[in-house]
Amino acid sequence: MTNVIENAGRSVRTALAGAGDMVVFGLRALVSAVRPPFELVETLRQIQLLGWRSLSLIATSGLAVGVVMSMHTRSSLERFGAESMIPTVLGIAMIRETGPLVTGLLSSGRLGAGIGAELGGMRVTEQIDALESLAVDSFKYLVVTRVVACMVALPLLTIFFNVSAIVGGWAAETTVSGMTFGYYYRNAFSNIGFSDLIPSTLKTVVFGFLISSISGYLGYNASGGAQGVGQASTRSVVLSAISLIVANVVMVKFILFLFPS
Amino acid sequence: MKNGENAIRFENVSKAFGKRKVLDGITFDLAAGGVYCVLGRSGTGKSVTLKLMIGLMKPDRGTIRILDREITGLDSRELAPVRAKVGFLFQYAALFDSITVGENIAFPLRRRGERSDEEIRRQVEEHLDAVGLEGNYDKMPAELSGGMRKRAGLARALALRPSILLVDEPSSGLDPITAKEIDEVLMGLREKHGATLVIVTHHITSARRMADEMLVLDNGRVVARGAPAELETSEVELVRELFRAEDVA
Repeated sequence: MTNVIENAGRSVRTALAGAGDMVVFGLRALVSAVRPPFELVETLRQIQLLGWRSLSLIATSGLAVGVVMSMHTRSSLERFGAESMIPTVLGIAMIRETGPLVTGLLSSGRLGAGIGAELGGMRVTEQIDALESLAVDSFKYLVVTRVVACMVALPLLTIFFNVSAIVGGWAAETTVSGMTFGYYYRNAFSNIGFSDLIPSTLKTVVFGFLISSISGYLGYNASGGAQGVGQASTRSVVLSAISLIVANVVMVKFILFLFPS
Repeated sequence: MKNGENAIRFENVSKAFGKRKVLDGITFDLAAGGVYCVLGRSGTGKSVTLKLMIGLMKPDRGTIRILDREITGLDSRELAPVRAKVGFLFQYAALFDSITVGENIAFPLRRRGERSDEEIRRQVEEHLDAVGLEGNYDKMPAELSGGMRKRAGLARALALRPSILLVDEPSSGLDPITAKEIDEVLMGLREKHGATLVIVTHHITSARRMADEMLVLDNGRVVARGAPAELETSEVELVRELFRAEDVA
């Protein structure tokens, strides 16, 4: 019994120490991002790699989510004869919550796994040591550039997801009711204000930070060969997704506090 | 730095991993321009010693001076000017696997930002020629054999014309003929660049071929040091075993 308690205590202590290290790692990345020298070329390359190459996933998912949401919304609203509200409801749901959250979760899989595995692979094959030996600050070159790239890419991907979802929603609706795109588009955005669009899109900057700093930490500190790389990749996805969901709850509360309407 | 002056100095350096003490108050100095081979059994801290020399690891105790600069307490940014004068060939070459062989060698040149693209290309071709890899600029590291990777790693380590070259197990995983070729490339480069070479190796044949002096590590300490001919008659049991192992091989 004592052993069980001791082991549990040790696990909790290790987990807390790991979480603390991760927070320090993330904050260090933020501080380094605003201090010269700026790795501009590498940051742009990472935006292209992490952002541009996620577009097909985000576009496909957005279209599919838009179609499904439209079908669900129709089946609910037609009971009340309120089918004309479908674009408005879909627009609000997508822009306020579904778009940012789904984009964040998709990115935690696509980007989190990628960053964790890439940096983990570089660590165990001594490529990170090789960078240091060539007088390159590996933290800045590998981690800070990815953190900045994710913080820039996530809001853009969210906007792209929202647009794709609204197009998907219209496609589903027009096949049923023949609704024109112009009508659908106007109504989708008719009740969207600043407080709906900007805070919910900007919160994905935080999602980008969480995904990149967590997966960056796990990859940068990976050890133990191929198994270590695999663990870094898997844990990157799991921890990024969990932290993103928890952070989302806190941020939604905060946004509703600032914009109570 | 003139030949004969200290290029590297370790003073009372200790390093442990958990409870396992790898280096235990080690002290030595290496003069500029020499070729030094560090030998010892596996796990005696040879590679750790190399990584301490370039600040990839920090000692728990003691001081390390490289090219007259104490590096013990320096962070990554402060270490950069020292590292620019020290080349490192890793055990498995540690080539960046997402870029070509040529770009690997061009990388440190581009980072220094002093040359045009044409000039960098010319320099890279020169380095590739020097290690016998001409015509391999556009190959990816995964397309190279073990020996070719080592050569490419060597070309990258020499790109900034370092004053000190640290080499970790140059012949590990290679057949005897390729291992000998790598030794010959190293000696040729030493002649050409006049750099101080510190080579960690298990192969006493390689060490005898190249070293001005050998340092033998055991239990975290230097147990023997001297020219190969001097160590052949050493009274230290480990050194005798190393030479006997070569005779058997």
